[in-house]
Amino acid sequence: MTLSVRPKPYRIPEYSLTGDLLAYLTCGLQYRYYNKGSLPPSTPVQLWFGEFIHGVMAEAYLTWREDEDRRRFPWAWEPDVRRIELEIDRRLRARGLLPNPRLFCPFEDAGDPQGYCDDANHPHKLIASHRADESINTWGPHLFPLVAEPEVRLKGSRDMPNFRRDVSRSNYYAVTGIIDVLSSVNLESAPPGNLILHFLQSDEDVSATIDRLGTSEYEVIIDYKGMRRPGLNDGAWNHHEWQVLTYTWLRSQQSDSKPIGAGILFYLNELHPSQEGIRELAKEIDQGTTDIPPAGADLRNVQEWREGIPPPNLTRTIRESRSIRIVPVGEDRINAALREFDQVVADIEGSVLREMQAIPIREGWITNRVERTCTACDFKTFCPNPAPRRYSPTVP
Amino acid sequence: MIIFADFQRAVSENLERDITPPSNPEQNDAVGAPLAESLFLVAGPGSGKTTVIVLRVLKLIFVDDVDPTAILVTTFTKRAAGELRSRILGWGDMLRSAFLEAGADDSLDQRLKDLDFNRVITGTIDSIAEQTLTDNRLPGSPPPIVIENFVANALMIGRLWPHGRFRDRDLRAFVARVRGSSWNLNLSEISGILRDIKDRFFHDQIDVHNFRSTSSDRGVEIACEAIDEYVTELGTNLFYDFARLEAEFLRKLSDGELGRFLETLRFVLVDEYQDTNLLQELTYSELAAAAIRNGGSVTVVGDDDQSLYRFRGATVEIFQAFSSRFTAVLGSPPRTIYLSRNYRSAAAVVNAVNEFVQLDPVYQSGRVGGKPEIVVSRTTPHEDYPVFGMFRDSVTELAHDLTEFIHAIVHSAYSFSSDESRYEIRINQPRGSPADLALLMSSPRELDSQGRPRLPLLLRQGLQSMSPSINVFNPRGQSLETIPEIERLCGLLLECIDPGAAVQGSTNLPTAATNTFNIWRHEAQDYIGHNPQPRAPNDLGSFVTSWQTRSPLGRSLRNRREVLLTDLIYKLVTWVPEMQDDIEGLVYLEAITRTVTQTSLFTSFGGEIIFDPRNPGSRLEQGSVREALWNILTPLATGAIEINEDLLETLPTDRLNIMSIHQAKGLEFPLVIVDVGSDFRTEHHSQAFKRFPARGGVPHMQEDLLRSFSPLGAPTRSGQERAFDDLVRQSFVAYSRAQDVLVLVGLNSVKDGVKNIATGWDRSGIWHWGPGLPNLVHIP
Repeated sequence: MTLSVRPKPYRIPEYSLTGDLLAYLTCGLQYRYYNKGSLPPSTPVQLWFGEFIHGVMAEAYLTWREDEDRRRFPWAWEPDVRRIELEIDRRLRARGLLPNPRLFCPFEDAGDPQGYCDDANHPHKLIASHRADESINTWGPHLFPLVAEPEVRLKGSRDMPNFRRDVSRSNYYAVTGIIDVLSSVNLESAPPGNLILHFLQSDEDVSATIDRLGTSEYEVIIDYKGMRRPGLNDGAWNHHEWQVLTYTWLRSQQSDSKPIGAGILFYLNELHPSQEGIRELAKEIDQGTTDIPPAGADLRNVQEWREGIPPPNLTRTIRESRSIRIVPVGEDRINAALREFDQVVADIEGSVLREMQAIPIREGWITNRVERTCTACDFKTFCPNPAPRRYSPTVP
Repeated sequence: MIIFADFQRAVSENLERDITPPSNPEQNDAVGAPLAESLFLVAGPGSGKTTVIVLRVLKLIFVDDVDPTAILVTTFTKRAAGELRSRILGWGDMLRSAFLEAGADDSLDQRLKDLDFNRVITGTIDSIAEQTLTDNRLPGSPPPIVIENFVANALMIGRLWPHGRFRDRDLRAFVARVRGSSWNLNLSEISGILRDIKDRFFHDQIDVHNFRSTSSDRGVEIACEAIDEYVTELGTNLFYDFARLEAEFLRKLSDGELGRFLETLRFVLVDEYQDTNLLQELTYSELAAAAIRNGGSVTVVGDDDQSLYRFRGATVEIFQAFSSRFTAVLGSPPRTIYLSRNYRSAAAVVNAVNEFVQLDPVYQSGRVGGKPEIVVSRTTPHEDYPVFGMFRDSVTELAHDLTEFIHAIVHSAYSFSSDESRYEIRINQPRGSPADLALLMSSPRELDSQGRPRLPLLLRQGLQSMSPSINVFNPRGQSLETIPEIERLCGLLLECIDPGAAVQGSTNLPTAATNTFNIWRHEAQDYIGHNPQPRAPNDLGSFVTSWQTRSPLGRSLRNRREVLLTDLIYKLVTWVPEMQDDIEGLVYLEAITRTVTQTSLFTSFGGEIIFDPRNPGSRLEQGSVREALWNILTPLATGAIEINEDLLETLPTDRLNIMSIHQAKGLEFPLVIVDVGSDFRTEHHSQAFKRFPARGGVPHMQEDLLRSFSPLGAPTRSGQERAFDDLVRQSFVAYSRAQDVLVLVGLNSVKDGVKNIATGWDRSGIWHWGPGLPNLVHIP
């Protein structure tokens, strides 16, 4: 008797746009370890802040929506914003995500231990708190009244690229994400000074798209990024656009959605830049690789800034402009973005299949040699291809 | 939207599933039942229940025009939920394409295109509870944070250790009574039993006040105090364990706090209902009541013969009495449909399973009434081989012959003659693999309680020594702490942070932990002695020595620094290649780092070690090391941590599966080997619970202790009877996993007379299969 072949379980692999596809684009092998293998980063600075700022904005919106007393801005850092920060920190702690002590003061008052803070005069308004405060007070008044649906879960399925019967894991893959949705109805009733409306109306591509829709009812989708605005030559610049365009496609698959007029990304670190952010901005100005360069006094302040001194105080206008990115949508652009992510999925699935053929993990997943990524990577001491050169474990 | 006949045709043409009445009247009835008709589907093994659930969902969407968001489908495991969801998406899209190709008017086309199958709510009851509570929370109220079992265990241990509560004689006596023995009653065991009891408080809706007040046992009071503190601690930290999560979900459903969620719900489908507990039944009743109010219905699917999870609180009686319980709560009776056609297995397997399940007369009285036999309905071409047996005098001999049997099947063919018949078995070339075979047993542990090798270890060693070798996949074969890669990495970690075991020696740790630490350290020292790669610029020995002396290496550092243990672990992995390249190794690394991350929630140093070159051995440093020993390394060393088997989904198919019968539930294999007695040389009382119980086991004793304080009332069958019932179910599940060939293996003592339910004894002591097991064809 020749035995049957055991049927493979039918499981459509599911990819999160941020947790999988963008992570893979950073580095395939790092994605295998951190994301697919669930190994926690030893210093999850970026992960913590990304989750923190998302949580803060979501909670601030809920508070604004449910509590009429909170409809007026600005909110004071203490007690309004701080209360939300502590709540989000508490939730992240319960998931094992602890803030870097240079980023966030977790203590409530002077009665608490000093911890890693400079003194015991808690709470200290460290950089994460500055950003939370600025994010709520800069964008909350303009954004919250426009939100039609917060935290909409998106999930769609697509044909598996390079599908091969009996070889591929499935004939489909699923892609997921979470967005906030703004409605045109709310946009139209917004007061004239609404900044979001201003930025949307100033974008010619967006205006043309909305005209083409031929309906007064449309949606705008938004997402927050706990990072600085990438330069035009940074891979992330395109990746973020593809992400928003893919969100647009996913949202358009939902039966209760309206046509999508535009996407908006908020780069919330721009509201309170760090030293590293200013250093990168100066470089981008030199190279002409930022789409929103500062001018006048802001330009001088950035160019004259030197390492070791606090970042300059940039004007509100440049900080606002750099923290919002309008992404025009359109069928061609969406299809191009979907093709990009199809290719990413094809690459990931290729590595998964190599793994299932017992090829060692470090041979089966590609690496992406980028010094900034490699120096912060926990796996650099055994990575086969790190940048700029091999790393040896240090003590400590 | 689509008429049912067209739906049936499309299913047949595109999905190769025939649900028309002449071919399969039962599946047709189940899939095509009217909207408002609630169903009780009693589904035997291999009867295509996943197919039926998915097609019923798709029929509701395509034929009855039901909004996908109004349908909720739940099952028992994440794996099964993933498969259900995938089938709904995959088949839904294939049927939609077929209907679009067939051509229709524009309005139907648009409606078909608008269908979003992703919106069907699918998941385990826990994942659905977590998502629903998250989606429907009020501002300021956090989403539930569900902790893993080992974190729950650490929390419970924290309630037992600090004041020496676990040493209390009354508590120990009580726990020993509930567990049936005081043997090896350590801290981890006591914690586990208290967590079981706490879960039953929730699952069986125990009147805890009444239970406490009617007991004069001081041990009960201490146990309840610890449980109280545990539950309070969960609340303080915003945590939910699974039982508390389900209880919170039910509370909010009953209190009307999830009204918006219930308003749109019309159909509830519950798979694996035989493993439901009272808390879950009440939850499903709330969901079903809403569905019926909204003009829909409920469908439950299950098989009492496959109920295996009593030890996790499952109450099979809830399934067996579903019709009457449902009618009492919701008014009208559900329609019962028996899915008894088996599409999985060869005739000999089906016949053996049918015959086996009817052997024990007392078992019959507890089964769902009117249940028909399973009917052979496999349509794929196959030869029909009888059920084989392989019995030997010793486990060593058995392992040797089984190794040759498996190796030959995988690499050439195994042939033998018996009773003038010749048999030959081989895997499919080139598409087959060792993963087409499985060895199932009640426990796949490699060592027995005395540390002696069991069949899984001998088989693994045998297969790995053959040429070419065959790997084995047995994630529960070894305790995590005895896996070589874990021993090595944890030993290196200990050697780095606590040189000479200075802190370990001055800390009051559980003896089991200290013993394991010493083994780990020895392994690490041995490994350092081998000077593994890389050796430049620094080798492993100099890295460890630098840590031990708190001397920076490769960087300059003058002042004190806090070092994250995960950072040190990843650096040490540089010298442990198995954790870089091998999936199983990576899963072990994940278990260690997850332990560090999650246990750091309860610690003051948060998973950090103080590294102070100017003041090595300071009190602060010792405190950080002590905390790591206690909170991170002790759970790892005492078996409290389990690996995350979900991360093994991409495991290569080049290895043989060895698994427990519980792990195998819901799976099928072309060739299944069931160990019916490689441990039973004699009728020793210590293994009676695995073959012919003299009394109820741990879960039965817990039921007897608590159920009279539950609305369920005390069990109607004795603990011993329930223990016998559970053994029948276990063998039933094991035998019915086989698609082509079933092989029973064990010692000759079992073949010749050791009483064993799995070899055809009934509980009254009648041996239906008889001496020598003549019903099997024996492999010489």
